[in-house]
Amino acid sequence: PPATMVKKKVLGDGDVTSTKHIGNKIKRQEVYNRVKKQKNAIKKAKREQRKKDMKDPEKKDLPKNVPKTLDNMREEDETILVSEDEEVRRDEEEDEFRKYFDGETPKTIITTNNHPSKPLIQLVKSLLDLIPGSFYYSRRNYDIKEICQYAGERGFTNLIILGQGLQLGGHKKLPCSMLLVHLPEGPTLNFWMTSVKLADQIRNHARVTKHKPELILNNFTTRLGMRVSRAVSCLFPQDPEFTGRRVVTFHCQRDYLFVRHHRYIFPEDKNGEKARLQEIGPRFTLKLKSLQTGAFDSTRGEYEWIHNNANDMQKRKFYL
Amino acid sequence: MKFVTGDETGLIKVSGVEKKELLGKMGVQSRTEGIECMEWVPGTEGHVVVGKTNGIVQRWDAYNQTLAASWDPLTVAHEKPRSVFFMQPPTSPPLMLTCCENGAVAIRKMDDAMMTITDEEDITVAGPVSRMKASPSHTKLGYGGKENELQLYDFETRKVEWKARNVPCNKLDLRLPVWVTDLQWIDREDDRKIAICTAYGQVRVYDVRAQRRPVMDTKISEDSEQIRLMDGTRLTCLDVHSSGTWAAVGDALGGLTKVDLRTGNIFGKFKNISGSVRAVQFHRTENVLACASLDRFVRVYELRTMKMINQVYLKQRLNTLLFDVEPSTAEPEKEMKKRGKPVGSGKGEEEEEDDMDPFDAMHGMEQDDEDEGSKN
Repeated sequence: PPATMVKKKVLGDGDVTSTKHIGNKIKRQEVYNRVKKQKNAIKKAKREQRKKDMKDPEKKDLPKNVPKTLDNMREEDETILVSEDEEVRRDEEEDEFRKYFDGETPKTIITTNNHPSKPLIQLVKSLLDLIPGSFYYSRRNYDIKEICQYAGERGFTNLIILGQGLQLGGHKKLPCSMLLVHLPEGPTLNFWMTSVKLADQIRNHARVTKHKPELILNNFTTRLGMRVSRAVSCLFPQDPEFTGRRVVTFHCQRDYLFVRHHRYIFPEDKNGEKARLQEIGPRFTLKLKSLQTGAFDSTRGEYEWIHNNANDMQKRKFYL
Repeated sequence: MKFVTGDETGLIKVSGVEKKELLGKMGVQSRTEGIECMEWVPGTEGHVVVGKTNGIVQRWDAYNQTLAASWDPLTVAHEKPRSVFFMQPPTSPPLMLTCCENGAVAIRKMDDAMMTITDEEDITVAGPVSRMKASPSHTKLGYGGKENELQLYDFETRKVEWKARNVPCNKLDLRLPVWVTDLQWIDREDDRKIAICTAYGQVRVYDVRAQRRPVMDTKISEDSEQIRLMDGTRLTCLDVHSSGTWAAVGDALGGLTKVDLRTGNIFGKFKNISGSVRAVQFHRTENVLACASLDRFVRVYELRTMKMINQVYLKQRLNTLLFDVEPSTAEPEKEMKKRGKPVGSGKGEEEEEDDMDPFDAMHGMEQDDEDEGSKN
C-alpha cells in the first residue's frame, strides 16, 4: 500500500482531534468529517447510557445522573420550615387567621377597579364559582379602605380586588393584579395575575358544581410561604364535600402560584392509586408582590415583604 | 457581639452576631404578652426591662434567662405601653416610666437596685404619644405622636416647657400633617438638639434653644419599585450615631437610610431588608449597626462600607432590639480578616480615637473620617 495511506484511527477518549496541521483542504475536510462522526457516535453512546442509567433503579440516584434544575439548585434559606417547630406553631395559633381555623365560615367579597372590562367581568364570574361564599359588588369608586371597613361590618372575611392593566404581549383590558385582604385586621396580599384562562378557553373543561371544594396547597416551604398559603386557604371553607370530587390547587413553584381547578375521579380498576382529572373553571398564575400587615393601608401600612426587582436577578433564590 | 430582641409573641431572645447563634430564649409565647418596648436597666449588666401588650412590665436577666421582677400591671387600664425607660433626676431616686398611647404616664420610684417600687405617681401628657424618651440630663421628657408635635415636658415643674411648631404651609397653602414616630437626642450629654422621624417621610432636627420650628428638615423618598407613594414613606425608627452627625432611619417599606443631620443630605441606604424596620441601634463601640424588621431577621451592617455583615433569622416578627452594652472582644476584627476585607489603618485609627479621651472631644476629626468612608 502507498505510504500516503494513513491507517484510519479509531477515536478514543482524550485524543487530540485538531485538524489544523493538515494543509490540504480536501484531506483536512475528510479527516474532520470522519473525526466528527466518531465523536458524535461516542456522544450518542454516552447519551443512551445516561438515559438507561436514569431509569435503572440502582444507578438512578447517583449525583451524576440526577439532572440539575433550578428547583433542586435552590439556594439554602434559613426560613424554610424544616420540621415541626413549636415556636412557629404557637405563632400561627394566634395569628390573624385564628378565627378561620377555629371554624369561621369564609365570606368573600369580590370587586374590581372602576369600569371593569369584559375579560375582567368574565374572570369575576369564574371566581364566583371557584370560591364558595363569594359575592360580587361593583366598585362604584369606593376607596379600598372604605370597602374594608364596610365589608368588615357586614361580616365579610375576605376581600378580593381584581385589577386590569397592561401585560406583556396583552392589552390593558386583561386582568393583571389581585389584592387579597383578610378582613378584620388581616394581612393584605398583593399579587400579579398572569396567564388567565377561563373555562371556555380550556379544552374539554367540566361544568362547575356547587360542592365545597377540597384544597391542595403545594410546595410552600418558607415562613413567608406559610403565611401566603394560610391567607389563601382562608378563602375556602374548612369542610369540603368529598362527594363533589372537586379540588382547587395552589401550586407554588419558583415563587409563582399556579391556581388550578379540577374535577377528579379515582377509576375502580386502578385500585385507588391514580386519579383522572378534568379541568373546570379558571386557571391563572399569581406572583406575590407584597405582603402588608394589617388591613389595606398602602400609604402608612407596614410591609412584611416587598418584592424587589433585584430578587428576580437571583436565579436560585426563592421566597415562597 | 450580642443583641437582645423582643418580638410580637412575647419571646425575648439573645443572639450572637458572628456565629448567628441563639444564645438564649425566654418568655411565654402569647400575643397578649407581646413585647412592645424594651430598655436596658441602668447599673446592671444584661438586665432588660420590657413592656408588654397587656400592660405588664417585667425585668429580665437576659443573659441568664431568668425573670427578675414583674410589675402587673404598670400601665393604667392595662393599655399597651409605647415606651418604658429609666430616669435619674438629680433630686430624686431612680424612676421607671411607662408611657401609653393615650398619654398616660406611670412614674414609679425605684429603690437603688431597681427591683422594688417605693412610690407611685400617674400623670397625663397630651396624647396620642408614639414614643417618649428621657433627656440626657434626666430632667425632661420628650415625646410626640400622631398630630402631636414634639414636646419637652419638664419634670421639676411638671409642665410642657417647649413645644415644636409645624413647618410653614406648602406651595398650595396646605398645612402639612404631623405624626412623630421616633425621637432621639443628638448629643448624649446635651438637652438641646433632638432629631425626630415622622410617618410622612420627614427627618427633622430641632434646636430647643434656637427656635420652635425645625432647624433641619428633609424628606426621605421611597425607592421601592413596587410601591409608589406621594406622601413620603412612613419612617418607623431612628438612631443617631455617637458622633451626632448622622442618623440611621428605618421605614415601613424596609428601607434603612443614612441621613446627615447637619445638612439633610441622604448618604445612602443599607440594603436587602424585605420588611418594615421596627428597631435600629448603633453599637456603642464598634462601627456596626443592627436593625430588626418584620421579615423576622436581624441584620447587622458595617457602617463604613454599608455592607451587611450578617443576618440572623429569629422566626417571629420582631418589635424591639438592643445591642449589648459590653465592649466587644477582638473577635469582630478577626471575622473581618477572615472575609478578606482589609482591617486596614482606617478602622484602626477610628478605634484608637474612640479609646483616647482627649480625642473624643474633637468631633471634627471623627466627622471627617465618617464622611470620607461613606458612600455618596
